[in-house]
Amino acid sequence: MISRIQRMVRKVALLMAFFLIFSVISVYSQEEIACEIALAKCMFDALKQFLNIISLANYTAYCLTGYLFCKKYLDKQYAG
Amino acid sequence: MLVKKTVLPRSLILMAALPVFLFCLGKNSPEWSLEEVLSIGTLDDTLLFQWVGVAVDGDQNIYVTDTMDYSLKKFDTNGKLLKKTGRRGQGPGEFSAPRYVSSYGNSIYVTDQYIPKIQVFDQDLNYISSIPVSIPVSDFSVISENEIAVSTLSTTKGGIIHIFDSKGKIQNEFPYSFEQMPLMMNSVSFEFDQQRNLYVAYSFQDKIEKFDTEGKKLWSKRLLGIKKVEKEKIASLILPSKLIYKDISLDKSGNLYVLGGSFSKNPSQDVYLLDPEGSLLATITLPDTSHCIYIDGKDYLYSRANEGVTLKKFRIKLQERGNISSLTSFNR
Repeated sequence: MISRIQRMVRKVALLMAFFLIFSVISVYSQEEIACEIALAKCMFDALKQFLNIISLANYTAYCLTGYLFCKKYLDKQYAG
Repeated sequence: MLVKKTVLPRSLILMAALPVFLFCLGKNSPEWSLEEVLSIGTLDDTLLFQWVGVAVDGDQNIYVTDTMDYSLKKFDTNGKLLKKTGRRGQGPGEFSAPRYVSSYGNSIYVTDQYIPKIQVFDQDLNYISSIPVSIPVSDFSVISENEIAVSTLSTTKGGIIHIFDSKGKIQNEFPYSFEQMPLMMNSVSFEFDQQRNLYVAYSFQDKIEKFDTEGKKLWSKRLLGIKKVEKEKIASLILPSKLIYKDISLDKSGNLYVLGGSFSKNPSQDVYLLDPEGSLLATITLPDTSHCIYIDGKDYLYSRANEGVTLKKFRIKLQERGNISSLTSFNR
């Protein structure tokens, strides 16, 4: 029973990840979205843990810190 | 006998005096510029792959984190590589994604994007210890051996600088914003001056602020006149996508240097120079775009070139009334 739930959770997480990544890709050109794709991937990893709300919030904070750093590092290419 | 006095209208006198006043003003206002004194790493060598953080010790040795090389590197004052340490991993002396570096006393402190700890090395890059930090580090500064200031991206509170002791215990909190803002809007780069006043530059707000040791706001400045930052839906989160201010650093005189982001005239190149009271003294333009700026104990400025392959060191020059002097000599 537990393994069944786990499989379900994985499937839902996978579907949500595809949705997240494709929703990002569809809006921007490939070149402009390095940080956004990285954030979506990071959030996908966070979703794997979404049964534990505390670790999800913590993981999200790490993802956002990575996004901020990525923006600082790559921002100049998309300036203006 | 009546003598007719010719009285010049006051406005005419003022108009005549204005050019003279402006001329004098222009003559006296100093001009700031940068002179490159050192360049480390080129597109043709392997000294640096993608450096992130830089710090300088009292002997002017330069410490750099190289995220693509999973390493911490030490260069001498001439740019010669003296030592390199680290490899990919999560153990002592290993890095997953090395980020910011700070030099204090005889120790070098390094943060990692994905590992909740700050690693401490000696000046020969030998691993000493790790300080566990319970939050992701978006910026940090070592105030003393037992006070490590860390900013993070809070999703629930306002803006807070946490002060950790050397064991990783939060011993103090320094709030700079009580306003609960949308995600990431309270994120800042920060610095403490020698009197422990706090300076913060917001990443996604047009706001630079100074607080005294008691947490009282001394001033708040908006340099670019930006009222609202665009937000985008990214991975089901509504996030700001363009940076206003990227980094800050202080020189020995307490002047504040703020690196502008996307909204600056020269994005990621313009550095706004403010005096300790928050008055804008000048805008200096870096020759290349950078993600950070760092000013060492002798007032040399460091920034990036070639998208992280090159580290540049500059002398900050102040030209006043026809005389050119370096900021270093002014402060001595």
